[in-house]
Amino acid sequence: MTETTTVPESETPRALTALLQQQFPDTLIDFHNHRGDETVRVKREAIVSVCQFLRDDPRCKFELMVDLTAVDYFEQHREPRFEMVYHFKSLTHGHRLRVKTPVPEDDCRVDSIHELWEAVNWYERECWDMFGIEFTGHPNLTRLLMYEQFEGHPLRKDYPMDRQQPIIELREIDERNQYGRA
Amino acid sequence: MAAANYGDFLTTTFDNVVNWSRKFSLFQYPFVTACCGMEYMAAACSHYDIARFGAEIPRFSPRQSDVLWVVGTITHKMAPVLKTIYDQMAEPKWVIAFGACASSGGFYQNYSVLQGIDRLIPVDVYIAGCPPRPEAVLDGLMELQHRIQNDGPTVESGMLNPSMARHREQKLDHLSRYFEIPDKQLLENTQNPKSNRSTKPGYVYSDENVVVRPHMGYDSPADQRKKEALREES
Amino acid sequence: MAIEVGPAHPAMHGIVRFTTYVDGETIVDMVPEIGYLHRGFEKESENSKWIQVIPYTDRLNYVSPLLNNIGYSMAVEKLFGAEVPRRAEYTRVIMGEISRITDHLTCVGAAAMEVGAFTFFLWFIKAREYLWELIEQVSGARMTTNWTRFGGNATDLPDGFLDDLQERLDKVKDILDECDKLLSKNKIFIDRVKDVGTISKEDALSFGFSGPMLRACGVPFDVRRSDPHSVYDELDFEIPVGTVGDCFDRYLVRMEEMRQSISIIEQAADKMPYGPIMTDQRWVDYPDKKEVYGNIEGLIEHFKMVMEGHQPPKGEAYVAVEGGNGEVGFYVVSDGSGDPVRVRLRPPCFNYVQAMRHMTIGHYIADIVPIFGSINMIGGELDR
Repeated sequence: MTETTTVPESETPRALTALLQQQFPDTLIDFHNHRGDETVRVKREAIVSVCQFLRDDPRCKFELMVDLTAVDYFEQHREPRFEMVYHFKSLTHGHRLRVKTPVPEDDCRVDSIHELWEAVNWYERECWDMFGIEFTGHPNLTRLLMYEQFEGHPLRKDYPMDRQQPIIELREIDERNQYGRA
Repeated sequence: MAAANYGDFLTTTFDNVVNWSRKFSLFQYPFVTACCGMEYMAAACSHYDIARFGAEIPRFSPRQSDVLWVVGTITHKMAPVLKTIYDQMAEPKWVIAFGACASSGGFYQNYSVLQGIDRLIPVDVYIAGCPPRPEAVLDGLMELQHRIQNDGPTVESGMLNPSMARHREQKLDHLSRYFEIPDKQLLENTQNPKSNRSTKPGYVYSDENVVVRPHMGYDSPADQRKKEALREES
Repeated sequence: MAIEVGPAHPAMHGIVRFTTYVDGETIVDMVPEIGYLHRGFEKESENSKWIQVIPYTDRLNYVSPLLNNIGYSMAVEKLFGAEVPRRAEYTRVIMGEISRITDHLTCVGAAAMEVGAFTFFLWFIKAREYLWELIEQVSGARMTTNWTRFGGNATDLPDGFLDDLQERLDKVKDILDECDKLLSKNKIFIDRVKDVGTISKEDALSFGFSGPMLRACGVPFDVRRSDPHSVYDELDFEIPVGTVGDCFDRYLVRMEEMRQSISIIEQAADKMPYGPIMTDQRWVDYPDKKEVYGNIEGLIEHFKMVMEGHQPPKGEAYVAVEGGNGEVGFYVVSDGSGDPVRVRLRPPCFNYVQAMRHMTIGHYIADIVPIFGSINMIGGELDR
């Protein structure tokens, strides 16, 4: 039962990780196999080429882009603050892969991979909506889950959970204020 | 019906007949958003049959319906849509808040959920539960039918429109039919702090009831002014 | 001309808005707009403890809540590295498959009702009532079950459950047979749904389809087969696969999947072992009440687990289960404290609604209804 997440060169990389290390020698930051999930971390400049390789190369053949999301490490005081997480699944070989990319807060931008899989379009829109990470090259980066008038990016850790921005005027109800709640 | 201070015998019977026909032929508009919709479907289908109460067919147009069932969570993005639909309904209209999310936001207290639809539109009956069992749904419908029965198209204030009359003189009107209570006590609820349904005739409540404010819905502007005046007095 | 198929429409699926641009009656473009039921599941789960997220997961795919519970619990168990005892795994399989049947019953029933077959809907809801009463016997609630815990389940199967299960499954099978006779060879229904909403295999893979939608296109991808979790590799079942990828194929795939689920439940009920339903690994699950009230270590352990929450070791995990709609993925990140860093649900119907535009262009307005019905969009899952 492994306890740590990032394991440097002492751990032997699995087949896919070795392949990626071979093809993209400078871009791989680290990798791990925590709980059996094969994970690699790549630099964000190379994300499009890595994903294209994963989709097209016959040894990888990842037809399904399963998930695309981000994690905000604000409370852990990590630099860089965000981390993009991509999950892929191959139907021909049956293996899964997780690709992570660190994104700094001041230069909150990643290249969009929407030309590789159609599904990525809305996932990236939702990521922008919730986190504010901009995807360069995305055709239509607008709000998806929140409404247009909403200001801020809700899933960031510094957005307070209770801050509501109603778009229609609400009535006042005395009983609610009696107990001190909205 | 027992003595009501509407007027004569003729208007009382007329009221009763009109209300009887209204309550047993409710056309519903189910504004279904979330999980409560599954229990609404269960209540409307053959096992728990809502049709035996007369509330049979959902009319999917607000212009043709009487009761707006707000079923499920309402988010801030959906709130203008709900308000538009409520405004499009013709009088007399009633609103049922179905489930915890519609009554008070449920256990979602965050940036996107409207904390109860009574922040937006006046509600007649709240059905609690997450989701409420179909038996609770039928109980809520029967409560609404009681309230409809106790209304009338010709009330003392001279308004011919029952829901407008209700919205203006609701609390004072109902209570004054059964008790003699001074204004101050009515609006401050000092007469019976344990009662939570003082508008319902003939029911006996025990002391174990949860204390909530006795009037469900909202204060009409007249009531609000009276409360302000009382607060300034004391 | 632009027509709004607006957020509050009579299809009782959820709230989605389609701005449809039509030329005559043919659709030339369509822009779906979602987010009308965004309830902040991910933000709420970051502000709760790990175990408090389980009721939120119920409300995600609310027609098959147990599959969500199972998926989330499996993800956190993976973080812990905890093992679930065999009886708990078998009961999870039974309850999960019952949930899958209720999911398909609701989807096919509602879709058929919108196309015009109202009797279908009433019968399927009656069948769903039989199954919900079963779920209520085990977990206490018909729909929002909150039943799995990390390392096992909250309650065990009551006495007499397996006989009751067999009776009710027979009744459900009868209803399925009768309804099959109604619609599967009905020319009116077939004319309405055949060759409507067709999507090719390559497009489906590019859009990230999974579940019944992908199987209807001809790809035999089922998470229960490709990444078998719990005891699915000991059970024998077939994966129904369609050919063309239109609405009729999806309907047939779902009807057949219900029968396969019934067969899985019967096998699991046969093989049900005796044993504990919760793991005895410490700090994963609350200690036994004898310990809590008996000695001081149990009391302290219980207290710490309740006040500080479960504390899975630092790491991340992704678990995919086969939900009623497709691959439901839970991605959880923990930093060793009792508060989740990230809980992410990968919604299967997100991809389908995104592909709505692709599937409806070239069809008539009236075809929106069967296509949208065959997607089985669940608002709680789409918008979280």
